[in-house]
Amino acid sequence: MPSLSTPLASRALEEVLAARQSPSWVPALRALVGDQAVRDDPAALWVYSRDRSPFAVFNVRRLRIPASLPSAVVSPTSVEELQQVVRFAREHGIAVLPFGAGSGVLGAAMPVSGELILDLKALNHIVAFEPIDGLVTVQAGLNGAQLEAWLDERGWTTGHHPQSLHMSTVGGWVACRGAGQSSSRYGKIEDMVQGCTVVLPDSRLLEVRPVSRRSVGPSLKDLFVGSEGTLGVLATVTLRVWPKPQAKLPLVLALDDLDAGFSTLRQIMQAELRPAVVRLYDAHETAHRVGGREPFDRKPIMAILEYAGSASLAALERDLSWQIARSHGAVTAADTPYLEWLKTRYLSGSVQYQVRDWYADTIEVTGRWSTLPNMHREFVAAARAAHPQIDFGAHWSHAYPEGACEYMTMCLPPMPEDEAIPLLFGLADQIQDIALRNGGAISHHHGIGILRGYKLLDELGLGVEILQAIKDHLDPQGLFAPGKLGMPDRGGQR
Amino acid sequence: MNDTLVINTSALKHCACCPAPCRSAIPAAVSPGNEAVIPSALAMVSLAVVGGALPPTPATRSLLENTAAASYCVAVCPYGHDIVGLVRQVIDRYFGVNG
Repeated sequence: MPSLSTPLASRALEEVLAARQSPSWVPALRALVGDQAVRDDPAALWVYSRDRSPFAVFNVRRLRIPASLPSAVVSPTSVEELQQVVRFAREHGIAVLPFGAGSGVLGAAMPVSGELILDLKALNHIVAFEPIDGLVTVQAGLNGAQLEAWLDERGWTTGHHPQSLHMSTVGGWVACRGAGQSSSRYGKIEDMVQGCTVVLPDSRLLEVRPVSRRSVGPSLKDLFVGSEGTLGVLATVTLRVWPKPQAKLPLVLALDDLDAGFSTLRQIMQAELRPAVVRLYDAHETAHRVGGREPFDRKPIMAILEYAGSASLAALERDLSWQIARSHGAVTAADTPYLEWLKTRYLSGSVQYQVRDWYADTIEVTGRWSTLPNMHREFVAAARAAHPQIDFGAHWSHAYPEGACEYMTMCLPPMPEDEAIPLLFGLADQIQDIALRNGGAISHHHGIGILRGYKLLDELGLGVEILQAIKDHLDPQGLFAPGKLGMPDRGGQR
Repeated sequence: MNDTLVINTSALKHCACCPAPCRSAIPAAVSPGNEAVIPSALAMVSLAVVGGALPPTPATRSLLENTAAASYCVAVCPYGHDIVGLVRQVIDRYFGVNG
């Protein structure tokens, strides 16, 4: 287990550059794919040394490399070229790291040992659109919002609307096993992926043909959904798509307390209702969004729901949900908080803190309805004990009949970094332990990356051995995304 | 080189810390596969130049001058930053005519 105070060996950019030598294989790689497709100048490598994890941001704002410079960057322009690059890397024993838009927040797209970055954004084409079947096949490097815009022009949607929609790629959605804000109706990414092609570490192309389901053993596509580049590189993905909903109807509720909120959401989901958006805010986040406004001045817990589909279905689902909410003492509020949420739903809330040298981080876990209330009380107690000035808030989204995701934001005021980072990592560690102790999961949709890897054994138990055996078979040299998903890094450390 | 120019490093820092929701405004055909062209990357490199951590080499200048993609982002920046303009100031301030 890595030390929580020094999870990665960050160093000053200047110091790293002074010691850097360009790898001897770079000219051969240039000869293979062309000069323009390979970059190894210091400024470009600095850009690829981070993802959007707060740990990386803390370092970048001090001109420090979070963990490692990549050795070089290559941008294949076709699947065949990607296979050539993978073959080249294997022959030369070069560790590689697939990179979409680097929007992950747990270090999955961040080099840790001088990897060759495979920037996939030139693989950005729409391969096929089959409206009769409701399928779209795209290359993995396509920007998420650009796919949505393309589908929108044709009257369709993926239904996958993560906060990172504009700053992420389709391959990234799949690699981290993500979830979007409309997931309670449209499902998570694993529900949407119908097929894929993957360049395996030996450079062969595995194809999982898109069909609704097959009864032919364990699902191969699910092996790669959430694999974070450790088992191969996603080349294309086939997603289920939907006609754009005819109506989107909001329901904004004010509730007396969280228990009323949990009961309302649980009964809505267990009544087979499927709101597209389900968001329940604790008193802290409610006050931040609508502090003092009526009716939240007397009922301090807010829930925002949205119903989508045909106008009659959306209206019926909203009415049935309102009956449930009313039985728990809820009152309706104006749509204003919903409209404000719509305006900012794709923006990161942490930038305002990071730029003022605060230490903002987030963590999202899964819990069951029966244990969510106690779990949250334990989270709050741990946060308050961590630091008296911590800004800690929570909301619950991605609701299921069995439970929900609790998403927490924790911000520490400016202080020496060697105090702040152990505090944040220590609190994240406690939150994961609390989630596990209450029967939950340590990560709902951010993945594992580097920063949650040390907890994988606690989460999966013997399952870690199974994952490792598959990894060892597919990638015996350990060249793909070393150190990610709880796998050993190039030095053999987990 | 303009030694008197004061660079707005707080805007550069904000952009470097921002996860770049503006990137979808860049047409797919403009510099695909190059993370270094988005405003947040240009801001990150600029900060390193201003902070003295990246030397003002021709390669770094070339990276900073590649603003075609970032130009699409200026109009959609949720925070109103003109990073392309700021990057031009960094080039003017820190890179000589032969830099």
